[in-house]
Amino acid sequence: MPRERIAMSADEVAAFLAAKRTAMLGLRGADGAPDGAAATISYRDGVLVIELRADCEAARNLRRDPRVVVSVEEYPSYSRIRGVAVHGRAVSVGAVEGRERFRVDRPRIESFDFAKMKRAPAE
Amino acid sequence: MSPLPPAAEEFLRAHTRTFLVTLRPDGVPACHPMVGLYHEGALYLTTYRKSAKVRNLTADPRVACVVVTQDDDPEFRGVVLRGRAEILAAGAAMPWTPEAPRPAGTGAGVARLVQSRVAEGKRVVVRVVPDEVRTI
Repeated sequence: MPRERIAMSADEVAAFLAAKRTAMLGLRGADGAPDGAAATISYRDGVLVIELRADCEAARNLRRDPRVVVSVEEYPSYSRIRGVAVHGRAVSVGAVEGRERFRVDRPRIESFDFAKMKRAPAE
Repeated sequence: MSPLPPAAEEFLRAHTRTFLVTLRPDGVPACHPMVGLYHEGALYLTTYRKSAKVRNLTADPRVACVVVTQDDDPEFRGVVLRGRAEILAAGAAMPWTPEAPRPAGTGAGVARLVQSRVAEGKRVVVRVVPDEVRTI
């Protein structure tokens, strides 16, 4: 993704993640091929937590192979697309009422903000 | 694969918000927000030829596509397609139809710009043919 020049600042990333409740996950399926899922997320004090139904395929996949990317984006218009991807390892921190929570350890963050492009794209 | 379930096809025709999951050369998954157009059993995406996603899927064409409603949709829904991606020959076009929903802000100007970048060879069109379909 992102060229450095349109990356968000650390504060912008933190505010963006803290405001989001839904993210898409990229992970690897039982066959090793890529798989995807939607998840509920929360971000507090620099810690990103994914929440999934404990019996869903994505949760099973993450228990087997914790490599994950959590992708959050918003697209109010083409020139204002913003997104953050958090790569890391999903570590289960337990399940409550059938919902399993995974903390994303060793996060590596990429971000982009089209509004930071020098030349705005045509609309 | 056999044709997609009608409900999945109906969803894909009405939604373009797509997250493409590829594998980096080191095996780590990557996820790229994109616009996906469904047409006759396949999903079409366009991106820059030199992008990381093109490098990834050239090395390993296995991909997943998560096509979803907006996050704040009262009834958040989606379809996951798993399959193989291929880069179409130069000159291919995105299958925009009058019925295809256009993402906010992507007027005719953006569509023309994208198509001229494809014609110049700066952008490519990627077709994903699913062999597994799941609803969210």
